[in-house]
Amino acid sequence: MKYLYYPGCSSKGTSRAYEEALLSVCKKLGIELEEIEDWTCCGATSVVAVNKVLAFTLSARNLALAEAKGKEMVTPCPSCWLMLTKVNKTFHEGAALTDKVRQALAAGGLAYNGTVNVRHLLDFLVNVVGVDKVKKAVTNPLKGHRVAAYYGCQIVRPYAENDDTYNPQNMEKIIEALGAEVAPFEGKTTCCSGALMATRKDDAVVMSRDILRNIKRASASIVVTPCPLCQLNLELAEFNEKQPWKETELPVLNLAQLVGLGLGLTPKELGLSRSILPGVEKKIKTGRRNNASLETAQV
Amino acid sequence: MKKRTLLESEQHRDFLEEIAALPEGERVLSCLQCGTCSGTCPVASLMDYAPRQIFAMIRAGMKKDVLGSVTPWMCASCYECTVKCPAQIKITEIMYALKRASIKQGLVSPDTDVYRFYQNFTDIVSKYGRMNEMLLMMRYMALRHPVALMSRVPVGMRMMMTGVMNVQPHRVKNAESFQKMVEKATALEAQQ
Amino acid sequence: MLPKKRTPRIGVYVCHCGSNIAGKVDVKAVAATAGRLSDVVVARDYQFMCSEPGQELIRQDIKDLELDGVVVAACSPLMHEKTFRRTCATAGLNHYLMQMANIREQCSWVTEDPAAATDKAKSIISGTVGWVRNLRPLAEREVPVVPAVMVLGGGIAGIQAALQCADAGFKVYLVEREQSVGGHMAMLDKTFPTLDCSACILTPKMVSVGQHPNIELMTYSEVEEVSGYAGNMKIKIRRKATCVDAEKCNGCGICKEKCPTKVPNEFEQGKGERRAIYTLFPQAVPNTPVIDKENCIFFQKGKCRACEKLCKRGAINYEDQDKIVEVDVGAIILATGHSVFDAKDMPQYGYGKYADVYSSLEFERMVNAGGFTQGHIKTSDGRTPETVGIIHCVGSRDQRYLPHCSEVCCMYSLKFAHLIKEHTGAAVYNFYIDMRCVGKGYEEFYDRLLNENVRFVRGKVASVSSEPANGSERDRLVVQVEDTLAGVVRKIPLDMVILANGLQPQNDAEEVGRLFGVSRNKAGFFIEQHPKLNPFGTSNSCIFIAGTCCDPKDIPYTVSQASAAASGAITLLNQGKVLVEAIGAHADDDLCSRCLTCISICPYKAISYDSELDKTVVDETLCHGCGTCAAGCPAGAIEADNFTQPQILHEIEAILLSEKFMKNDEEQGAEVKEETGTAAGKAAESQMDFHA
Repeated sequence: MKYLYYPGCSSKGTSRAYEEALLSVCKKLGIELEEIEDWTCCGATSVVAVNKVLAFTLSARNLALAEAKGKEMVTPCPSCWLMLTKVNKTFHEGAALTDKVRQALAAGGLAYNGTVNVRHLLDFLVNVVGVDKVKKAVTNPLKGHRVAAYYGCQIVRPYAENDDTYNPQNMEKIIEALGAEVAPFEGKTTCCSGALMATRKDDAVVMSRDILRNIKRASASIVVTPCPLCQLNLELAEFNEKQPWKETELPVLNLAQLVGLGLGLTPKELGLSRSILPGVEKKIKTGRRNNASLETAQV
Repeated sequence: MKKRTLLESEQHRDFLEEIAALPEGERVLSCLQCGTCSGTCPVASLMDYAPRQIFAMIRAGMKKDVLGSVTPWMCASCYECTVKCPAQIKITEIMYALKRASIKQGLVSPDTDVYRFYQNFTDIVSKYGRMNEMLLMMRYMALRHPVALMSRVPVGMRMMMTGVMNVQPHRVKNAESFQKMVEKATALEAQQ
Repeated sequence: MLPKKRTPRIGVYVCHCGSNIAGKVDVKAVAATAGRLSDVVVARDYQFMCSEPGQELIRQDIKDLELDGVVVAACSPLMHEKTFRRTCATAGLNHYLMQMANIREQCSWVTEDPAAATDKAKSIISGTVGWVRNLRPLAEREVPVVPAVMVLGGGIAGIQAALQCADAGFKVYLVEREQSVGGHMAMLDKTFPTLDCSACILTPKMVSVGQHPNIELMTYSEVEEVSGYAGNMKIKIRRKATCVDAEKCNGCGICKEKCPTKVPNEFEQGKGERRAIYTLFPQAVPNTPVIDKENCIFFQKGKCRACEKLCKRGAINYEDQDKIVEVDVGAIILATGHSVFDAKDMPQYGYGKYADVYSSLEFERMVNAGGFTQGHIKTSDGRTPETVGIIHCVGSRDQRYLPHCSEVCCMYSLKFAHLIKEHTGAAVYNFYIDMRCVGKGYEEFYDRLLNENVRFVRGKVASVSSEPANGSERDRLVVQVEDTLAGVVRKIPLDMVILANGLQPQNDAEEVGRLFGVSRNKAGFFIEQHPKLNPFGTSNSCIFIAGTCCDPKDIPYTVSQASAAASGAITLLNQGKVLVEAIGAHADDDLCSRCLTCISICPYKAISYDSELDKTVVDETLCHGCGTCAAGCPAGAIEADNFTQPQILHEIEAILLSEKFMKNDEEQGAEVKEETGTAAGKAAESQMDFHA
């Protein structure tokens, strides 16, 4: 299976581990990802706040580059996915903005016809690859792990692609396919306020911390999230240079890392050491042992 | 907001219509002032005016107060308000529109630095094509927030150690055509 | 060949309608132009044609000038066609020779430019004159009305309507699909604003309905088919098998007590239980239980038969079958009621997720002494709540679900607040957007609640979630809401949350509407004949509506509307006869190819094919003259009175020729005579001659 791939800026930077894990997972599942050549930022959040035409043009440029190669594209970052989807919708609706974007694209020698379909990674795994295929490829069933599915906001709002806005279930399907137990908790779609992490760090950390605490109450051993920024923010809430893991001791994995774990990939292939928290691998092992011992204790 | 008696002559009576005329402004005239948006906003406590109040002020024609508030800059784009609004108003998109309008009209609140962050981000992307976190943090914090920058050093160090911090920004290949595109887009934005 | 007619003598009357028409259209010029049309012997303009003096103008002219055709250029025929028909009839002119030219709704109200509007008015009138020139006199037929009424729905609306019609001396069939009458009102505890006990005021009426000599009560029954025509409707009713003989049953209740099967009780909103043999509630009318075959062990597995064994009167009859009953009625009153918005569609309120979030009806049953907690207000784990929140506008005033306001929720939410305070002394919060208290005594009720220290928070609740309670293992509910008046976002912990669910149409409203030919609006509620002047009638003069099936309303309004509907029915039945519209369809045997297209498209099932005579036959009493068949016939073999091809062609040609007038009018004084029909029109005339 070959698919066009839009990494998004964080995949090459602070969320490099996401791309590493994603490429490893795709290799294991026999999926070939073709990275869009010379892609740029999608313009979400920051650019659209100061210059709407530029933001839409940046996304349209990436879509135009993809269109030259194919019709189906996947991206790991929900923010990028939302921005690209919004741009696609404007092109389909033929809004006045579309004209301006076309003009800007033309100035750069490009044109976009609105034919590229963009999926985010979770939708891709469940509806293109298929939960069964993932399940069959599991060599290290995550038995003993209670995984909390934290979705964040932009993957379910305002558009919930093939899932429910209030109570999405796609990640739970993956978790169960990997052999782990789902840890239900309140607030799986509450915003981690990642957008404020740079400008209002202290306030943002409080919000992310509350989410982690909620998850902790659900006796989870791992938190999984499809969003690279959510992963970073939850980790930042946990981060403390003197005493890492002070808060909840919960390792936060992105979706590709969790799937890769179940598929038996190595920590290196999953980029576990790239986390700002040290010893993620160890924490995962401990979490499983604790849960397992709880089970045997009850017998 | 300075406590005062509002005189109609000093307000922008058409502010509500202006917002309603924007593509984002669909159904803004149907706002019931129910307060769901404020109640559900995760960052409402960081705003000087809660989202619902912003719309009440828009109705009162309080253009300067609205565009000069901190509220749009605190919006985390989580879309909770948009999904739950009974009148189905595109609140998040209107917040973006308010950000851009406040920049254009030179009314950005002095109480927040978020604009500068977004502008730095946009400048970097416009020049190089992709984001570079190191560059962004340096530009945003080095001169203005040295203390805050210092507090980020441990994380920054850790990131450098784990190899996720790119010192050199990646440059877009077709730089010339990219620049032309950016310039045209910026020119078209200025026209609006 | 058409019989030679004398030259028509037509009068044209152009109404100013105040400034509605005259404000845009130059009515004097229009009247002058009309006067110049061939066969128009008089053309007048007047302020208000529908007024007494206006009508008198027409009557006088008919007599003095021997008019044989009248065109009233004014508003829509829906407004005043009846008025002017009567005017002409009283003056001795066949009222089908009067037609209205709509120069208001279709001209002055929708055209910006006055000159364009004036020209359009001239064209419209020209066309109508061309049409009237070729009309034939018609006469309605009188058919007798069956002196019986069917009331569909046994809630308070249906009960009220049935009693009134029955007291007026008419036979009433009251059809209700549940085991007992009573509807939603029977579920309520107290009613606002008087806090009357609902059952206490309802049950006497229920008993009256059960005992009235003129009312045939058919519960556990549904309407299957409706046929016939206005004033003579045939209704097929399926009386579902109750398996209990009403004659023998004395209501002792031992069968209900001993039945081993327990199922969730729909009357208790699924919170309590009933048996497989049951009555809806203790005061049910009739008091005869029914067997729920789907849950009865005997019907499912062939065992048990406990009720049969224990019944001392031998009233149980497992062989009972559904029966189809056919009744003839002259009028029908639809009082089918409403259903309640399902709050599961709004997941942010946690209904169905948290045990202590209750819907309005669930709470109503809880607080009712006959309900699933015997009237005790308790949380799901049996404690008396110390804080309770009531959320207004659940589903209502929401573009995604019910855009309308459900009218009664603010009042019943206040009622809940009062009852909770009375029963428990708990702290009560009412979360509202607007307080809608518009009935008699309603605002005073609100003031009463304000003084009972209910904590009112103006803000629509953003979410209901749960969090660990301080110093307790149990989680508690937390409501997050912006207190818009105080300008702060509040987080309020509560032991119990009650939702004020909105009111929406019944699930089968579409089916019922189709059965009876009653249209529904966008929300799905039945449409009244006129929202202001006839809120209880429908477009069918013999079908009336009452209660929440047409829109959400409180009990006083429901009862008033039910009485109005009953009066409508009684008036109709008292007249003893109804006039069948004269305009009907007629088929030409020579042209008809027996393709049967008209039969399949007739909305009133008025056309049939008589295979013995090999003829397409139109039943004149069923035919409404809608013209659908005429439009659909590929051979043009079936036509409607006064809307035949030649007649329509004459109208079209008159409009096209009127353009010539506009030009000639500008050249002052030119007298133009319009030709009475072109070659095409004449040819069409000789081809189709139905009235020779």
